[in-house]
Amino acid sequence: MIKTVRIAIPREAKKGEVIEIKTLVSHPMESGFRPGPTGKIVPRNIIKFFICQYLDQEVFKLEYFPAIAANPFLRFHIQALKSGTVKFIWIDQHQQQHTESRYLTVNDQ
Amino acid sequence: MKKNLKPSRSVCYSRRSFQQKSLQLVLAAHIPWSSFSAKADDTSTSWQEDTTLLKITSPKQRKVLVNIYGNASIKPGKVKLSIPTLAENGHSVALDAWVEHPMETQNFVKNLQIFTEKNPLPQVAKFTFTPQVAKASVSTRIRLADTQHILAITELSDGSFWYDTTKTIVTLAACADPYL
Repeated sequence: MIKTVRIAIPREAKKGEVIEIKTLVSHPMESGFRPGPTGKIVPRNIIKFFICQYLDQEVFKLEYFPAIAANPFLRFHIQALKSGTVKFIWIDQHQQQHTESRYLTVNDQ
Repeated sequence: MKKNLKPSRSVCYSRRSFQQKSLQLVLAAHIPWSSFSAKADDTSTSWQEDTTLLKITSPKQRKVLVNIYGNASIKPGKVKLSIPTLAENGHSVALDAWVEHPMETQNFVKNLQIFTEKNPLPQVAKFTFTPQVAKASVSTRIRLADTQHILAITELSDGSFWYDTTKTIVTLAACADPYL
């Protein structure tokens, strides 16, 4: 389960500007290869997908594997075209979704 | 001893033998060059014949690469991978990757995949881009099981594949560590 998510995205941007987005999710990303305190292997528990939607279109997608570190950090870019919501969706291996959205204002000048 | 001191016959050329030999030399100089330039134009060589790729990949990783890329040609270039050469803690290693390619509607970077040599699962991440991303540059943090080579392969919209690789020394491995 994802509880806290931190997203760094500028509130305003010029039209055509390439903006940088940074996300940080608190999640153990248990790889399924590590022995626990009792000596048994801790079962795998990871986020599988991250999807970024801008203006209701999927623009960026990331598929996670167990080799992504705990509390996954991600930095990527999108191009500001017009004002609208940027939606961030995380899907874990149990098909549970966590959605966050931010509003991006695009100035024409 | 006397025989050895005599100039050998082959050193003294007649006019005819000189002409023949020089013709052979000219032909010998031309044939390898033409065959080499033909090879450079041929893009269908499989990545499995690339000596650098064979050197830095493990058999397990090659199986995964065959499943994804088949026998496609993967060339060095375009994609850049930046990882610290010495990672103190394999639990979290910063990874930066970017592709030097325009992001236009018809000509863009399709995806970027990261592979490791010695992790229990060779695949690390798969980034899928669209032209709206405008800049195929990402960073994240990964786990490394051992000192190893990391490989980034990108697919462009024209169907070509490009790779880059770096080696990272890991002092504390991610998998050997007991439960914290």
